[in-house]
Amino acid sequence: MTRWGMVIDTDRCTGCEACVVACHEENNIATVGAEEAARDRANHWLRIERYYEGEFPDVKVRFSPVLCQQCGEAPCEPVCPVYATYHTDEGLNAMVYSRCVGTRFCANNCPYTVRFFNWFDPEWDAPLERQLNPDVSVRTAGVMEKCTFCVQRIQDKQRGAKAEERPLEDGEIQPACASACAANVITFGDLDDPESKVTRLAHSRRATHLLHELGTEPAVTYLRGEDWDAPAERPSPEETGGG
Amino acid sequence: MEVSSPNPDAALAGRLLRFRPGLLVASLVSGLLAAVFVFCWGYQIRNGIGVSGINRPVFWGFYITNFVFWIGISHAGTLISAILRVTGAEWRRPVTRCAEAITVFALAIGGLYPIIHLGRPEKLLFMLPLPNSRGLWPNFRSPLIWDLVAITAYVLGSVLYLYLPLIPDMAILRDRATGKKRLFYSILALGWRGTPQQWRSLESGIKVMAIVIIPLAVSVHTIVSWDFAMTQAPMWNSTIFGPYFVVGAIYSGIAMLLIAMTLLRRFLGLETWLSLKVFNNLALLFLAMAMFWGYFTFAEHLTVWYANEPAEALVFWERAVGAFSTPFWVMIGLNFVIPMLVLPFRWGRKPLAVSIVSIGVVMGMWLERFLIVVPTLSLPRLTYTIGQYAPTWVELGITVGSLGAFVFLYLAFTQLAPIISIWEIREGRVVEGLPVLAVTSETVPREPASEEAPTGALVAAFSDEEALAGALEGLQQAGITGDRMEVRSSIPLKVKVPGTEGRSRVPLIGMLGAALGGSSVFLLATLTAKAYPLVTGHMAIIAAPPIGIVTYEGIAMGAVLSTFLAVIFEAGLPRRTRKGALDRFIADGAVVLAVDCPDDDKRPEVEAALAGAMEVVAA
Repeated sequence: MTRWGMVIDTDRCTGCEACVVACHEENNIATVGAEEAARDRANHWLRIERYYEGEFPDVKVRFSPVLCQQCGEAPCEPVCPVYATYHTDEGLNAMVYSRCVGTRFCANNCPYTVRFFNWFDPEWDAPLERQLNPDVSVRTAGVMEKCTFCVQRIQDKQRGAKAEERPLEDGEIQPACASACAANVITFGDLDDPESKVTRLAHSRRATHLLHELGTEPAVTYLRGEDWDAPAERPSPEETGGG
Repeated sequence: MEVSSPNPDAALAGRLLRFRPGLLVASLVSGLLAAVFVFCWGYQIRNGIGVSGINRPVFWGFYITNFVFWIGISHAGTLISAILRVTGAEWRRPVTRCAEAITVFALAIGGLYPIIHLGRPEKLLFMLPLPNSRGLWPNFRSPLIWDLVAITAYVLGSVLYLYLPLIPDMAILRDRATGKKRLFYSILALGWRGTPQQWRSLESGIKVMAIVIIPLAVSVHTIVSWDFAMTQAPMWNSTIFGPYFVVGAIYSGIAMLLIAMTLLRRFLGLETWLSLKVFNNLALLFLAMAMFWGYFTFAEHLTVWYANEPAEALVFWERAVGAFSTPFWVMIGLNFVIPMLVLPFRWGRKPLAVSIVSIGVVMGMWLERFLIVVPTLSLPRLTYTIGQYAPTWVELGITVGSLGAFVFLYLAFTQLAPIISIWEIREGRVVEGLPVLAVTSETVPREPASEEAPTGALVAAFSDEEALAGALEGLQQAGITGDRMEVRSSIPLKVKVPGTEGRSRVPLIGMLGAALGGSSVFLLATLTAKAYPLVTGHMAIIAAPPIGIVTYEGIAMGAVLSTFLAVIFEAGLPRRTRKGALDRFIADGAVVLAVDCPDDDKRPEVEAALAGAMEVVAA
């Protein structure tokens, strides 16, 4: 079996937000405009949360990229009356846009607040509409959406490997955020493969899960130094795979 | 008891539907607001749900607040009326109808709100278990589907529970009316004749319905509370929410009922029936609910404050002293402090005082619903995404407009149907040993007998049951059997009429219907889950608790529907009615006995038996 997972090394994150831009481009996420954004309606499947430590001028900034945690036991799934969101056998928390009626119950029951709603039909400032990804559907008004772990890229690579009659290689699949990250923060792979890099990192002693006390069993693991106030502990080479 | 005293209740039927100019003004104002409601909703459908003020993280706002509020208001009627009926509280008689009507119209408004709230209301059918080519089924694990099933059962139950006791009143109005009005009431009366067999079925049906509707109403608001309590959100995930919501619902429902009763009393001139005693009793119930509400609110907040779990405490403190403290303390004042200062006193339970308190409670209960929905959502666990919410003019228009729509529907109802149950008031007079009939044969205009009536029949009108009993005895001695006579009345009779012995099968059919409804929904939820096996969260494909919940609602739905159908079937309705010779007498409270006596030998004996009648005509 396959269970897709991700490891995010917050100790390495520079907060450049290249991943956010890449995610928008890859997944046809609409830009809602300044006015709507000011009404708390900006949609970013991936966001960089910033935390400031200390008093000016002695300030340290910590970054935490937050996206759908693809929970193993997702609170968002059972509350949907129309199965618009459910669990795939590859561990993904799938979202069926065409089924969604827009009750927004899933978003309320998501403790990570990583579900987004299309309040109006999507629009892009010219010429951004020309770069829409043909592999990803555009969502209409009234529909929920969220990070898919770039399921279109997963399926593309799976089809390629199948056509060439070979197994998928570890690291072959790169979600848009991971491939855009210059600091090598994001690692993606199969958590059921004991040899994969993502499995190895997920067992790091720096590994934590967001709101792990809720028992949602996220597929995203965060790596961070044990004491954020102390100088960040440099990750060992074997943890980062030498990268 | 003074027999010769005038009977005020005789004026009731005439008084109820009389048009008043004030009604025109009230209808215009509320109709205008209803138009605002329609316009704003239309605007939202055209432009998208984005025209509301909801956002991320406050995905639910005024619409869900209003949904919970109106479903709460709907608990006024059916539940209170059912409890009073089951316990045989005599003072219920003038209250039940106007309470049940509140339920039906509050549900009509409340039931719209989840649809108003949807991002894609045009895809509503996806939530219904309709067979379709792709084999897609709704997810019975979702509390929203429990809502759908429960509210459907409740709407069905409330409408039928309002309609059943309305049938005899419709017949009374039919028999008093002429022309188009008569046609209107004839259709709604379904050809009701008021025979002892029909009364037996009807009373049995009302009794069964009243018993079924109490647990149904409790389950409906419990399930509404579970829309919140099933989540992991701070201060939503609470076991107390079920009873807390039910208590709040009854509380706000009684408040709305008291306001409606005060207005009806004042503007329809119903002081005789909606008396100070009725207000006093209902206000005492109101006081008890105020205490319950205060207790639950205290308990709900105490546990959160004491345990001090950070995410929950954040919501608690924002309510107590933070951004939401103004509505919170206004709510405490309106829902607890003021009722406690006013209702314990006798002067505080008079119509004007109690209705002012009630207006406060209705507003306070709306605030309660708002304070449950919005603070939790605006303070999510990952504090990075804390947000704010303010409604737009569209939400305000829909909210205020829906109140107008409710008032408009209620006013329309008062003009079409008696807002106080005429026959139940009459029955109450019989219970108290007072005469029902205030009219005599002189005051009632004789109607020409119908030409199609069977020949050889005698129709006699009696002022009360005692007179009828005497006549029945005489007929028995004359050897007239039950199949040759028909008794009709506008109230259920105690006297035994030959040929009408036996028991109603309505409760039995109701039980069978409950079993059928329960098993159908059980199979639907189980088999569709099996046919469409998608994993959601931690639950098994066939998850027992959700299936149990919808099965429970299926039982209630089957029970109310089959009980109603059983009454209709057993009472031989609907049927065409002929105008009878003494219909008007029945409408005014007399008991009418028709005897078929083709045998000329027996005719003098029959005529002698009918000597106690106030009017005898040959049909």
